[in-house]
Order: sequence, then C-alpha cells, then structure tokens
Amino acid sequence: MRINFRNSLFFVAAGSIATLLLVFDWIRISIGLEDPVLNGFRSLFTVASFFFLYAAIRIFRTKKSVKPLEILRRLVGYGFFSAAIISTWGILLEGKSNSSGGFVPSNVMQLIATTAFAYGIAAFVFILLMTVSDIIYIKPERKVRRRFEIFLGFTIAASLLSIFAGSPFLSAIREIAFVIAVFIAVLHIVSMNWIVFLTRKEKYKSLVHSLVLIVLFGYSYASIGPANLAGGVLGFYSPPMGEFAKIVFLFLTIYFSFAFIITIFHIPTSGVFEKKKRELDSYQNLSKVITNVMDTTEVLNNTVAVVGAVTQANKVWIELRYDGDGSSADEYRISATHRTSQYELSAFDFDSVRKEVRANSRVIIHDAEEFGKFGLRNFPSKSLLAVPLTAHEEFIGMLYAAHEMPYAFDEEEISTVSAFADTAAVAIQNSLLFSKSLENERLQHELRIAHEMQLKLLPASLPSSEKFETDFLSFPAFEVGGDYIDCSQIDPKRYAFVVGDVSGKGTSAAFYMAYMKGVFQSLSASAKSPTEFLMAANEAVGNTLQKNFFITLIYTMLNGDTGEMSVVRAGHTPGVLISLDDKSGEKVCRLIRPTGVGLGLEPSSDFGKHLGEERLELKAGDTLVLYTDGITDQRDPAGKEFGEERFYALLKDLSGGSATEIKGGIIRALAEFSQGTDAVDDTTVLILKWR
Amino acid sequence: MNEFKVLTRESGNAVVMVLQGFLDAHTAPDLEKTFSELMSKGKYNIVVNFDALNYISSAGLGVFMAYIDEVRNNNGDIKLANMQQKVFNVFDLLGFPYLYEIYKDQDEALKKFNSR
Repeated sequence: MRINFRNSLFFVAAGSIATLLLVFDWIRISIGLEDPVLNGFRSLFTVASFFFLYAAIRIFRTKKSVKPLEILRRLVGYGFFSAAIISTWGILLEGKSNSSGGFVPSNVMQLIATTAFAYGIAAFVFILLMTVSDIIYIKPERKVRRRFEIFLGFTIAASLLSIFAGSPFLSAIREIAFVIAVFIAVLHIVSMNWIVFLTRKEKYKSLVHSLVLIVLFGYSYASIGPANLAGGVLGFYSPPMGEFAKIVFLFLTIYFSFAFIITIFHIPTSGVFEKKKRELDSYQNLSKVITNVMDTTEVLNNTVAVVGAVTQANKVWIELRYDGDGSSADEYRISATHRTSQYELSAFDFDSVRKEVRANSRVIIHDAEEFGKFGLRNFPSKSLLAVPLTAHEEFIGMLYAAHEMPYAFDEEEISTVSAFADTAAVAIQNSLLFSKSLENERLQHELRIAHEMQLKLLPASLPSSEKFETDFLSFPAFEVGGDYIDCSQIDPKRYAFVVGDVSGKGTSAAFYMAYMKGVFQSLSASAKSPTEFLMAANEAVGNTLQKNFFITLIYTMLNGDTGEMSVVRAGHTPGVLISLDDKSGEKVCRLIRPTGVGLGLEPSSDFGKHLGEERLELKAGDTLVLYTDGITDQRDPAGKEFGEERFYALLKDLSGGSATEIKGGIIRALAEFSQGTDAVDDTTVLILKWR
Repeated sequence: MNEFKVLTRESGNAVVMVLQGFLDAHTAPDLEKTFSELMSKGKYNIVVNFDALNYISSAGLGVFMAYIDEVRNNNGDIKLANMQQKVFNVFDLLGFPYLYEIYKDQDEALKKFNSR
C-alpha cells in the first residue's frame, strides 16, 4: 500500500465534498427544503465524491491475485463485512419519512451515521467490484473484458439517470439501462474460464465459497432495495449510489449463482483437466531438467519420475544402450527406475520388445496374451508401453512404462510419453556428452602426470669419459610409451647400456617399461656377463608379463678403458656400428645382431639355448647406435616408411660428428621426412661414440 | 584404410587361417576372436597363411603367443606359412623361428599335420 500526496489528495477531495454535503444536508433538513433541481445537483456532488473515493481505493488496492480460490476467500470477507454493515447500521438510523415516503434523518447524529453508512457501503461496493474483476480477468477472452466494461458502463448510466427520478421518461431509460446491465451480467456466465482449471478439491472449495457468496450478496441486494431501511438511507444520501450498489449486488448474486452451477457441471471433468495440468507441469519440469542439469543420473531419475507422474504407470524405467565392440552385441543397462527396481526387471528379457521398438518405433502391450508374445509371460503388469530414446537420430536407449491395468495407455498418453522420450533423449545425450568431456579432461590430466613421471624414469644423461661420449633421444608416440633406455656403471671400468621396447603402446606398455627399469637396475650390477643378465631378465619378465606381451631388448657391456664390448639381443632391432674400413678408409655400416628371442616369449631353459653374444672392439671414430623401430616405422605424409636403409645411410652421413651432433642430425632428418605426420610408435635412439 | 580380415577353412585334420591386410593393436582382437573360436571347437592343428598380410605389429605377434601354450598342451601346433619377406623379418628379428615352425608354403605345413 502506497500512501503519497496524490492518494491522500483523492481522500481529501472525497472527504471535503462529503463535509460540504453534510453541512448542506443539515441546512436542508432543518428548513425542510425539497427541491428536485437542487437535489439533482446535490446528487452530482455525491457522485463526484464517490468517484474520488473510488480513485483513492483503486490506488490503495495494489495487490491483485490470480488464484481463484484466494479471490473467492477475499470476496467472502468483503461480502461479509458489507452484509454486516447493511444489517446493523439500521440500529443507528430511525428517521422520518419525507413527502414521497423515503427516509430522512431526523437529527445530526443520524445525518452523520447516514453519511458514514453511504461511504462505507460505497467503499465495499467498489472493493467488491474490483475484486470480482480479478476473477473475471483470469484467462479472459477479449470479449469478456469488453463485456465487463460495457456492463459497468450501463450500470453507471443507470445510476446517473436515477438523479432524475422526477422525469418518467428518464426513469424509463434508467430501467432499460438497468435491464441491459443485468442482461450483460448474465452473459458473463458463459465464460467462467477460471472454474475449468480448478482441481477437483479446489472445485469443492469453490462450491462452498460460491454458496456463501450467493447468500451474502443476495441478502445485500434484498436489503438495499428502496423499501428497506438500508436502501432508503442510501437512496436519501445518493440515489445514484443506491442504484449502483443495487445493480452490483444483483450482478454479484447472479454471477456466483451461475458460478455455483457451472462448478457443479465441471466437477466430473476435473480428472481430465488435472491430468492435463499434470502433463503441463511435467513438461515444465522436464524443460528445466534439460536446460539446467548436467548430471546424467539426475536427468534419468527426473525423466522416469515425470513420466510416472503423467501416466500414473505403476513402473517406469529407462535402459541405455552401450555399443558392442563389433564382436559382441549391443548391451542394454537399466539406468533409472521409478516404482520398480533393477532387481525386479533383471528377471525379464526385453530383447524382442527392443527389436520391435527399433522396427516400429514403439511397442504397446495391452493384455496378458500380448505379454506372452514378447516372452514376458510373468511380467507383473497388464499393460506396457515402450518407446525409443532417440537423440539427433541416434538410438540411445528405451523408455518403458508399465501399468497394472490392461488397456491402460490411450492414444493421448502414448503420444505424450513419446514426446517426453524425444525431449528426454536429447537431455540424456547432452549430459552423457558432458560427463564424457569431464572424464576426458580428468584422463588427460592423469596422462600428463604419467608423462611427467615417465620422463623421470629416463636417464637425465648417459655417462661419457675421455674415451667415449654418448647422447640419446627418446619420445613416446602418445603421452606415455613402452620404449626403454638406460645405463648403469657396473664398476669403475664397465658400463651397461640398454635399449628396449615393450610390445603394445600406451599405458600398459608404460607400466612394463617401468618394471623393466627395475629389472635392469637390480640385475645389471650383479650379472657377470650380458648373457647372464638377459637370462635373469627373461626369468623376471616371463613370470610377470601377460602371455601376449613381450619385451625386446638390446644390452651392451662396454669396457670404458679398452673399447671392448659385448652385445646380447633379445628379439630387438639390431645395433648399428659405423666404422672406417681399415683398407679403403671408407665408412662401413655393420649390423650387430646376435641371436636371441624376445623376453617373455619362452621359458629360460630354451631362451638360453637360443641366445648368442657378440663381441667387438670399438676403435677411434666408431659409432654404435642402438634404436627402437619407432624411427624406421615413421611415415611421411604419403604413408611411406622411413625404413632401415634410409636410417643406415643417414647414420653413415652423420657419423663424422659428435654424439650430440648425430642426435641433432637424426631429429632434423626425421622432422624433414615426416613433415608433421604423427609418429605411430615410440622413438628411441642411443648414440655411443668412441673417441 | 588399415583393413584386416581373417578367413578359416578346414583342410584334412588341420585348419588353415588366412590373414589379410594390417594386423596391429586395433585389428588384433579380430584374430584373437578367431583363435578362441577354434579353441572352443577343439581345433588345435592350425596353419596360418600370411600371404596377404602386409603388416604386423608387436600386438599382432602377441596374439600367437597368447594361444601357443594352449594349442601345444592339446597336442596341436600353430604353424606359420607363406610370409612376405617384410613380415618374416619382423618374426625373425624377434626370434620366432625358434618358437614356431615357419614354412614357405602352407602345403608343407599341412603335410606335417597330415603325416602325424
């Protein structure tokens, strides 16, 4: 409620005119003045005063309601007060009649009471009118609004014409306006839209309220007629208001009489409207779910709950499809249930239902016999509706609703559920994609960590001395790889170098690579010879690896003083030795390829039998290169392999430089060859150069 | 592009498995499936024809290792035949000739089974 200058001005205006009229009336009564023209002018003043009162009340009344029952409650309150005023105020008023038999106050007190009564009734009439307009304007059609305005127009016209009570002609017109106003009031009843949308319970409440209102307004109307005291009092003070109040109370009585009857007629159809309303509400819920919720479980649970609410099915559930990996069939997992459980449903095979749904976009089972046809003889329901969940033309799962009554799903319900399924499918797929991208992000983070961890497993640098220098490169094709490179100094003179490759790529290979580092670091120190090391390594690896995994390894032991070296190989790519030919002085390339089977492929007894050891002696300028096949498998954009020949030729070209220069040359050549083509395998190269 | 296909047919007391295309980590499960089907049928005399196989990766090699024990424990064998040079090199490097009988021609391998 706002009280400001303008509002108070209306009150002041109404009050001022009322005060003036009070003084005028006192004089009028005192001298017994009864002039029709003067009375007419006086009535106009009362109309002006009531208009200001109306304006003031209208501004004060800010809180409109759109709930029918709340409006009805308010009407009952106001109606009760106005009826109470009408019935009790008479105690204060016992006046004398004037010449035409109307009421005339007999003293000042009565005059004041009359004035107060007139304004009190006027105030309540205005409030009642405004309040009832709230209910008329609920879901109005345009013509309803216009009709109500026309009704008010005729009512006001009839009221104003009552000023000229003396003229028979104008009185006749007034009667006509009165009849038209009432006729329009009756027309209103055809569009009581608000009743239709009430729930059954609300309709019962509305009935009671309407009944009370009929009594209150009927009583008010009857009591305010010219023959009654209240009517007389009002008629004395302001004939237009008397007329106006009469029509309004009559209108209200008629309106709620019809409201009562129409409500009774609508009670049987409440069920239908309640259902529609539920559907609408559910749709609203569902759209909320779609726009706000990214949690798949929540989306699924909301969907089954919503469908359960709309169809009143006794069981609702969703199953999602998981792609089979080519060899196996698609898998369906029950992902959300409503009034049922995975446990209960697991006893039944819905495969034929699924096939049918995918063929004909829905399955409706109406009775026990049809359940039998789908192989669901003992299913504890009498009706079943199954529709596909299809998002962006992709079949992602199924929505089921079961009912304990046969023939429970009508056309309307089926189309509603289908529409639901379409909307829900999009929401489900969105949430799945969202969680997938979250999961991806998490995995990428994990892989980054794994990548960093694996980098730490690589040696920071390899040993060098006055006699020899080393360098290496190693990078995985993905975040983590299965290539292994390491070195350990066995004693002051001897060094062990190793390059290995775990079969497969990625995470599993990375774990075996880490395991291999442990094996190497623990065994290389104690092994008396390279052969002994490999035997022990095969033993350690063979017991650990899965059958279809193996590790290839090339292991060299270098005497750092003499350049003597022995090499063993377990299925690995051969070492490459570039040296100068003694006679011709030309660079020659020799493959160091002692016999040997990959680690983990055969038991140690056989493994040892197949193992050879190659001895050589490095001379100044010799370069030994150990590598994994990632480098020779590297492809160019056209798909051509880098290949061994190209690699050996490259090494020959580069062998004049230092170990680090050779490494740089290899990296450059690879980059030039691949031209950005991704490596398919991990790439590792170890370069050992004897000075 | 990297298609892989495996066909089997019976020949005497053995099964010939013909491989085509690229055998790598992605296609290895197809070969595994074929092997486990043969195992479940009790077919342990297997000749693998590599004639149309263009590429084999370490994961592809692993498949043969995964089943060799079961096959030999059932008095059978996996014999390899008709390898292209490039594919043979991969097997050779790893020491497979120590582990498997490798023949130039599948008929030789079949003869071995049939003579038993």
